[in-house]
Amino acid sequence: MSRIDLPQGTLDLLILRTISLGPLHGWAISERIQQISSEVLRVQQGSLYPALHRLERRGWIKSRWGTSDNNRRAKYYELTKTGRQQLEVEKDAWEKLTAAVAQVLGTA
Amino acid sequence: MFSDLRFRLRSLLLRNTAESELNEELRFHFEQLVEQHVQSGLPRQEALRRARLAFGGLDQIKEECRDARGVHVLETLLQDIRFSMRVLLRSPSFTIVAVLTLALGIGANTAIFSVVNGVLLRPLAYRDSTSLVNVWAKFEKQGIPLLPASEPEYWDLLDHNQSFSQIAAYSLDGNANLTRADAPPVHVTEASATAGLFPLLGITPALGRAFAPDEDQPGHSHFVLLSYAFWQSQFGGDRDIVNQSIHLDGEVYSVLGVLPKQFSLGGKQDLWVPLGLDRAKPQDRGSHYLPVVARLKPDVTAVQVSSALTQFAEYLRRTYPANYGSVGDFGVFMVPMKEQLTGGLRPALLVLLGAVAFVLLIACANVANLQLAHASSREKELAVRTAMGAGRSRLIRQLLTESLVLALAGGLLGLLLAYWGVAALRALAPPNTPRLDEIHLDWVVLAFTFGVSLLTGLFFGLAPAWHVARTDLRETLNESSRGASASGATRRLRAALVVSELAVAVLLLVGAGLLIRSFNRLLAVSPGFQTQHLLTVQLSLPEKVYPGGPPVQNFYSQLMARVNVIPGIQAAGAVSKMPLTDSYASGSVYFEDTSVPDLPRDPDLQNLPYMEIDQRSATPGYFQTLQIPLVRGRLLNEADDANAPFVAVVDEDFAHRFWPHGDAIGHRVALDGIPKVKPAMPRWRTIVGVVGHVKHYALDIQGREQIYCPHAQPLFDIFSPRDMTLVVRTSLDPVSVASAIRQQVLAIDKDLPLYNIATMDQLLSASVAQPRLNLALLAAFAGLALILAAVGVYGVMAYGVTQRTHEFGIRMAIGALPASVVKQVFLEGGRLTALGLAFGLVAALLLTRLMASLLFDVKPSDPETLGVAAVLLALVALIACYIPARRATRVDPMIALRHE
Repeated sequence: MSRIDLPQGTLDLLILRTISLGPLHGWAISERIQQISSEVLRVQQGSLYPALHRLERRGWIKSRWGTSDNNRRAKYYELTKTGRQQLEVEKDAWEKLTAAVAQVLGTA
Repeated sequence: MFSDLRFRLRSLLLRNTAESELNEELRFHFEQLVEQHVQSGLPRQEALRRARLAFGGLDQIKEECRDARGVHVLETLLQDIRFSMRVLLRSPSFTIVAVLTLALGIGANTAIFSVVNGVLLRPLAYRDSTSLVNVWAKFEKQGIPLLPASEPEYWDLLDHNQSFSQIAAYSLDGNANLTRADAPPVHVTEASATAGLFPLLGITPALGRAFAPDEDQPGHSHFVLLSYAFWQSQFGGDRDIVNQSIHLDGEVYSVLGVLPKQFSLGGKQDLWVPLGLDRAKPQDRGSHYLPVVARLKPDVTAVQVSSALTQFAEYLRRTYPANYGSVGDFGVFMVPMKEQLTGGLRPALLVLLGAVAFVLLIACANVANLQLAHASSREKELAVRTAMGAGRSRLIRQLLTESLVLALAGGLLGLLLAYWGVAALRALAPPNTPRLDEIHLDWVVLAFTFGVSLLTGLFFGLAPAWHVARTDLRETLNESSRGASASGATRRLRAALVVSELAVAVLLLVGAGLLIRSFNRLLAVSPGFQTQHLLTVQLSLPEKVYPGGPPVQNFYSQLMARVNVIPGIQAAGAVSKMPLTDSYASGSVYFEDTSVPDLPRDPDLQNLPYMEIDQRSATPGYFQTLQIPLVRGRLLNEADDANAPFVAVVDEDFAHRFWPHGDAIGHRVALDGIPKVKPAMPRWRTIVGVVGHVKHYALDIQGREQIYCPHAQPLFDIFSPRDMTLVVRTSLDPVSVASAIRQQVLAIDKDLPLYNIATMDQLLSASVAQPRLNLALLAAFAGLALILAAVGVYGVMAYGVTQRTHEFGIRMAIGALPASVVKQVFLEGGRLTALGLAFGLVAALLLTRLMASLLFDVKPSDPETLGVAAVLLALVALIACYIPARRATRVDPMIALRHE
C-alpha cells in the first residue's frame, strides 16, 4: 500500500467528483477517496476541511446539516450548479494534462 | 462575487455560529476516526490516542479553515479593534486626554466646514442654479462699481438679449403698512418682482401659486405672495389664506400663495408683490432700483456673455449719450448669483477654515506626542508580543488601528461638539448673513468629518508606528526600565512635534491679534457723530394717504413738534436714511460753478457738470440730535420751508473736493429741475453750511461726499421722502421713550406703525457684527491652539523629567542645587519655545498676508502684534515648563535611585 501526495489543485477535483454522485460529509469524502483509489490516495483532515470551506466560499459546493448513518449530526456537502460546470472544466483539464504527460513519458 | 461577499459576511457576522459549526464538523470527523479504530479491534484508549495523532494540530486546521472562509482579514481587524479598545480603556487618562483633544480639533473643523459647506459650497436652492447670474451696471469713473438697472434699461436689455434664456427684475426695499380691523397696524417689508422671477428661479410656492403674467400689469398688480415666516407670524399658518384679501397701505391685495420657507434673495422680506412695470410710462433712465437676475442659455460661454453685455452697454451709451457719460465709464456686467450672494463672506470663511485646520494640526501633534510617550511605556508589552511571534507589520497595524479608533472616537465626540458649535454660530452670526438657514450638519459634513478623522488618525498614528518600526524591541526585553527611555530619534521627533505646535500656535495668535487690533481700530473710528443715548425709529407714510409734498411735510413737522415736548427727550430730528444702517441714498448734484475740471455734463440740463453724491433730507433738529459738528456757516432751521429760498448743507469732503481753494458757502447746486418747466431748468439751492463728514455705510468706509436738504423743501416731487427715521437723544429707558413716541404717532395717524426701533449703539454694534464674529472665532481658535500647545510643551517636559528622575536624583545626591536642575529643564523648554517662535513668526509673516482683506488700518506684518503674540506664547510655554521643573527639584535622591 504505497501512498502518493496529491499534486496541487487535485484535491479540489477529487472532492468535486466524489460528491457529484450525492451529498456526503467530510469523513465520508475522505473515506470514499481512499476507498475508490484503492487506498493509494489518502486525504489529510488538515487539507480536506480548508479545501471544503474554500470550495464553499467559491460557490461550487454548498453545505447543510444532516444526519449520518449512525444517527449523528453531520455537515453534508453537495455540488451546486456552477460546481457541476466547474467539475467538467477541471476534469477536461486534468485529462488533457495526464494525456499530455503520458505522451511525453511514452515517447521519451 | 456576490455569493462570495455574502459568504464572507455570514462568516463574519455569524462568527460564533460559524465557529461552533466548524468545531462540530471536526469533532464528528474525529469521532468517526476513533470509531473506525475501535471497530478494527483497538482498545478505546489506544483508538483515541491514534486519532489524536492522525488529526495533528486541531487549532492549525481551524485557522486554515478560517483563512479558507476568507474571514481572516476582517477578523484580524475586529481583533485589532477589540484589542485597541482594551488597551485604550486600560489607560483611561491617556485616552480621555487624546479623545478630548481630537474632539476639539475635529469639532471645530466640522463646525466651520458646515458653514463653508452651507454658504460657499452647496448650490443655491434654485433650479439649475449654476446658470443663474445677476446683471449689473457700473459707472467706474464716478465711483459706482455696482448699480441696479433702471426701468428703461431693463426693457432695453430684454430687447437686446442674446445670452439669456430668461430675464427677471425685482426690488427688495419696499415698505408697506398692513392694516386690519382687529389688530394694530404692522409695518411690513415688501419686495416686488416681475412675474417671470419665480419660474426663472424654479421656485414654486409652498401654498397656492405664483404671479401669472397678466397679474404683473400696470393697474392690475394688487396680488401678493406671503413669505413663510410672515404667514406663520401674522396669519398663524392659516392654509385658507389663499385667495383671501389683505389691506396694504389701505389698498386691497389678494393673496395668491405662500413662498417656500427658505426662499430669500437676501434680507428678510415679509411679502412679494408684482412690480407691474409700465412699459409705456417708464420711470427715469437714471433711477436705478431694479436688480436683474437672468438664466444663461445652455450653450453660451462667459466670454460670449461678457462681450454681449459690453456691446449692450456701448449701444446704450451711443443711443442715450446724456445718461451714460464718457467712454470707459459706463459698463454692464454679470456676476454668478452664488458669488453675488456669498462672495463677501468668502475671505473670512477661508481664513477661519485655515485657522481650524491649524488647530487640528496642533491637536494631532499633541496626540502623536501622547502616543509616543504611551508607546515608550508599552515597549515591554510590544516586545513580549514580538517574542511570541507577532510580526513587526502586525504590531504597526495594531498601533495604527489604535490611532484610528482614537481618531474615530474623537470624531464622534467632535461631531457632537460641532452640532452645538453650529447652533451657536447660527445664533451669533449677524442676521443678514446670506444663507444662514442653510448651515447645518448634512451628509457632506458627515463625510468630511469621517474623512478628517481617518486622516487625523493616520497622521498622528504614524509617529508611534514609526517609533515601533525603529526600536529594536527584542533588546528592550533585556534592558532595565531606566534604559527603556526614548531613543534619540524618538526624542528628536517629539521635540520637532512640540516646536511645530508652538509655531502654529504663534501663527494663530498673530492672526487673532491682527483681527483684535484691527477691530479696536475700527471701533475707535468716529462715525462723525455721538452714538450714545440715541434712539431711532422708522416710519413709512403710505403714498395713497400722503401723496407727496405738503401732506408729508405737515405730518413730519407736526410729529417733530409733538416729539420735542416729550419729557426726557433732549433733542429730536428725522432723516431720510439713517447712517450705518446699510442703506444707500445717492443721486446727481449739479454745479453752477466749481473749479473741478472733467466732471460729466448733462445735455438735458443745460449741459451742467454733475457728480454722484450721497443725499439726505433732514429736519432742522437732525444735526443737533446726532451732534454732527458744524464747521462753517449755519445748520438747517425751521425757517427753511417750501416758501423760503432753497438751501442745502454739505459736508467737509464735499466742500473740499469741489471748492478746494475757497469757501463752499454761497455756491449754488441743484439736485433736481424746476417742476413742469421745459426745457429743464435747475432748481438751485444755496449752500448755507458745512458740517462734519458722517460714515454713512460702515465705520471702515469713508463714503462719498454728502449733501443735506431741508425736509420741508420739496425734492423730486415724485420722491418726497415719505420714509423717514426719527432719531431722539435721551438718557431715559429707550423702551418707554419709544412707546411715548408711538402714542404721538398714533395720535396723528392711527394706522401708522413704528418699526425697526433700535438704539444707535445697537445699530453700530450690528454694523460691525461680521468683523466681531470673525474676531471672536479666530480668537477662540487661537486660544484653543495656545492651550493645546501649552499642554504639548508640558507633556514633553514632564515626560522628560520623569524619564530623567534617576539622573536628577544622582545629581542632587552628589550636591547639585535645585536651581541648577530647574535651569536645565528651563533651558530645554526655552530652546523648544525659541525654535517654535522663530518658525511661527516666519510663518506668520508669510501667511497673514492672506487675511489682508479682513484687516482695517493694520498691516499684516504689524510688529506690535507679532511682539505681543511672541511674548504671550513664550510666557505660556515657560509656565508649562515650570511645573515639571518644580517636580524635578522635589526628587528625593533615595527614591530616585530606587526608581527601577
